[in-house]
Amino acid sequence: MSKGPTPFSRSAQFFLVASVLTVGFLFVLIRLAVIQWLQHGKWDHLAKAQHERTIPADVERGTIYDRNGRILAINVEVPSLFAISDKIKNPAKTAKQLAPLLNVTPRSLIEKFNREKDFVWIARKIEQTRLIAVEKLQLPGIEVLMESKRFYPKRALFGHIIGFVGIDNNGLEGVEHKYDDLLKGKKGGVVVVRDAYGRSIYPKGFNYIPPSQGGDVTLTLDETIQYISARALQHGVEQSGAKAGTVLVMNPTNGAILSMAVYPPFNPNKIGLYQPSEWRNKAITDMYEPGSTFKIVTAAAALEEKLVSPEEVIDCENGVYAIAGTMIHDHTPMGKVPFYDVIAKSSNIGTIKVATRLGAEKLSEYARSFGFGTRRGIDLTGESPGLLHNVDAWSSRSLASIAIGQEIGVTALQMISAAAVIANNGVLVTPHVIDNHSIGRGDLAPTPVGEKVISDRTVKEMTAILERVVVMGTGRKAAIPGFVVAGKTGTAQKIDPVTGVYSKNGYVSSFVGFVPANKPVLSILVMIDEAAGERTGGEVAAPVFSAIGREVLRYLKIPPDSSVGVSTVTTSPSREKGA
Amino acid sequence: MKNIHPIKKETRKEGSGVARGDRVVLFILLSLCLLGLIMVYSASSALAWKNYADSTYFLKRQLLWTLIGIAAFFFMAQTDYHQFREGIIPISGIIFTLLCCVYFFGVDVNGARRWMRIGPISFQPSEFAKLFTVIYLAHYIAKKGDHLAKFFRGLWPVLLILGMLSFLIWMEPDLGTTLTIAIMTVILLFIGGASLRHLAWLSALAVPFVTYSLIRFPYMLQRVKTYINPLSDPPAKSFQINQSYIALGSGGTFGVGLGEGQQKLFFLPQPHTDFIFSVIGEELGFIGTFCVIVLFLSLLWKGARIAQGIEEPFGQILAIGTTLLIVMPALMNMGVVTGLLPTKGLSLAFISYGGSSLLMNWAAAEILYRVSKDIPVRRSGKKAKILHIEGADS
Repeated sequence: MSKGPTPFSRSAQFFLVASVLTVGFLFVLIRLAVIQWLQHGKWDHLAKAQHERTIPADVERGTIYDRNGRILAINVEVPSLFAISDKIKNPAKTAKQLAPLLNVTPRSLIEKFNREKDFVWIARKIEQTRLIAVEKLQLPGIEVLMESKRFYPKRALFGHIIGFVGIDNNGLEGVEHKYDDLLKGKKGGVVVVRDAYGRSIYPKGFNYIPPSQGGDVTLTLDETIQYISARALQHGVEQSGAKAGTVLVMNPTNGAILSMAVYPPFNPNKIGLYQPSEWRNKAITDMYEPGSTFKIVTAAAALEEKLVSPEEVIDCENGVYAIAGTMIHDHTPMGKVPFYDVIAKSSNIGTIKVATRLGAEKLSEYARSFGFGTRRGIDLTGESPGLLHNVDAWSSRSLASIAIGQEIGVTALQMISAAAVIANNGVLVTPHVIDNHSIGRGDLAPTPVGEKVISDRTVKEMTAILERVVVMGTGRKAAIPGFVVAGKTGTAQKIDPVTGVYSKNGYVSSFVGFVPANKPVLSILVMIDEAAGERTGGEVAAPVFSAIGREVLRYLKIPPDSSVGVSTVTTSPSREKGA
Repeated sequence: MKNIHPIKKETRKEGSGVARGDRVVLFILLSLCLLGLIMVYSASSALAWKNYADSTYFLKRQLLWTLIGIAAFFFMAQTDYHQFREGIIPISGIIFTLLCCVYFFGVDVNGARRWMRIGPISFQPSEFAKLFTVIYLAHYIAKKGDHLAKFFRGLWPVLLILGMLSFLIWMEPDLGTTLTIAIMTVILLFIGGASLRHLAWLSALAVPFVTYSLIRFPYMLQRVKTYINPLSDPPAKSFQINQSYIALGSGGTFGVGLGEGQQKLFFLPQPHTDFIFSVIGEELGFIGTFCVIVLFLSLLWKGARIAQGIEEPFGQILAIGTTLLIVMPALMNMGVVTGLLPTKGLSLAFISYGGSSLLMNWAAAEILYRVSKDIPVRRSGKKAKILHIEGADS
């Protein structure tokens, strides 16, 4: 077809040229179909990202109250500095003058001034004194904006529970983090269209999203009880030369946490001064070997299974006994004593003998039903599940070890919950720090109905035994004049994190119990970490328990039990069982 | 239809029963032109406000040039296009003079001299050189006829003339227009009956030329690189095409609505000229871009049909040449905007803002329309005899 077309019939050529161009147009059409149909979502997303900007409308973060309506976290107006780059006449000079007042390098400021933006933060939420110094310079282009900053009026008192927020008021730890969505409310704003230079052109329609005020949160904690706990804990830690400690006070009947004190304290108003390990809420995040306090579980299990009765005489072998090829020692050698004294005087040998009747399966089962090995489900973030191995993984020694609270990791929260089972007629409750009813938010964290773990009979027997601990056992210093106290001491060697063996010096001294024993209103756990010198739970933790219990009962106006003498030592400790 | 109503009357009047131009062509031209005015206003108002504090700055100028174009269209529709043949030597002289002038006295914009400024009016002589190329080729093909298949007798003289023309434009530099003229020349010579072997050699000759251009003007090389591998390039360079994708893609099927587009707010480069098709895609969606393509395709096939219907070579080549002059750069513009071709400044005929190009396109359209009048009337199967054979055997 190439050669010699006649001048008058060029139809083929016209057709060919037009066809080639038509194919070109079809390519364009296919390409358009791909871009405009198939990839529409992708490009539309990118378009919105570069065209729209939401100018946020200020939302006040909700207030946090204690259960009596005292303010624990609130917002205050503080100054923030920002720069409008165009208005700065001499960036180098401005930076040089400003830098020392803000403790930054002039270069970092110049870098901020040079950004292609009309607005750039220079320093946020600064102290009033610095603001005054900056304002004296009268620098053009450096402006002040009042911003809402979180302030914790009780300072360190609630630091570990409430946590803190970031620079943009987003919750980072504790209640602030757990209930962030409720506290921060819904961010509102106006959607504006912007051009390629980032300038806002005009609001897009009436695209105004009204902000919703952040919700308030009321805690179950009580400022007074928290204060009593924190002060007693600090005193206890200082007296015993320990390095740390935890106190939990809980209403055993519903799981409401009344105080949660962690020492050393942490002030959320000055986050910068602390290491992350210091703001961790150790009452729920850290686990330890509970030692003898765990005998509550072993004893309750054996009594519930009717494998032992409180009166049965157990031979404690005068303090030395070999089991599974290991020698077991008691701190105070005993001969043949009734089972209630095995627990009251905290004999390891007697407890292990009874636990052997129970067997590994049953002990593990009861430990789990008392809440060990899983998270208790408190409404705070970072809770540890503790450590309780499956029975299959237990060694020949494990039964003996776990029966006396070794080879098991528990959190303070788990331990107080387990003790509260005895105080709460055998029902395990879920601990919580938010008072759902007070904020009309019953849906927020529904408290599961507690599970009945042991029978009323076992509860009565256990209560009597735990009363005996305080009356004439290891926990005598936990006694509170005018009240019957039930509880258990614990002294556990810590495992050296470096060597993996029990350390010589590191002990966890604890006391967990409840008061009044016949109608408990308070469960209290005291845990002192690495006491120097005297380190038994009875000597170190029990006095703190007593001090807290005494003051809190008075504060709560709980009338003393008229049948109990004022003296701390009585001869008739229990209603059910005589001495 | 409403749009063409007054023109229809006029056509009848001036046609005065002898012959009537192609009304479909008129409809297409006016549709494109109207769409162009709307889109130029939509696309340019923000830029106009920013640069001239007058959002109608570009619209007013485009409207003025459109009126001038339409006026010239109807004025020239009275004349006989065969007069071009008689005046081909003076016309050539004017074009070459203008191209030389622009090289020496042109306005320097971004290192290129493409503009002539006479008083308040500035224009691009290269636009008119494109139209001249078509007229000259039509004249030449009609004159030489069969001899075109021979190299020295047929092909060599026309290559010499158009080669010089292209060289002057290439010197500005304006590689886009040079390439357009070269491609037009090859296509029209092919239609005119030149040997395919000669044209193949000629095309091969373009390779070193293009290569040299890429070396001489590094920004062109960068554009080709960006086209071949967009990822190899800093984001700024592939920015243009991404913004075009965002405009087209966010438009979807029905578009975001006329005037509602955001991409013209300085995200798209030249939203009212080179990238106006992206703005159409954003505001009117696939429906809009599809309609524009249909209009240009219709014009293409209408032009081919007109060329087919004409029975003397000068009219044939003029018809297909002017059609290609309008449609081909439009196709290339769409190719650039959709990322099928490397970035090149080309305007979308009748739609993009720009006086010279609008005027040139109206002139080309006028020639096409004028030629369409000479199609022998066919009615009820009867085929009319040849009316004009002038120049067919000269």
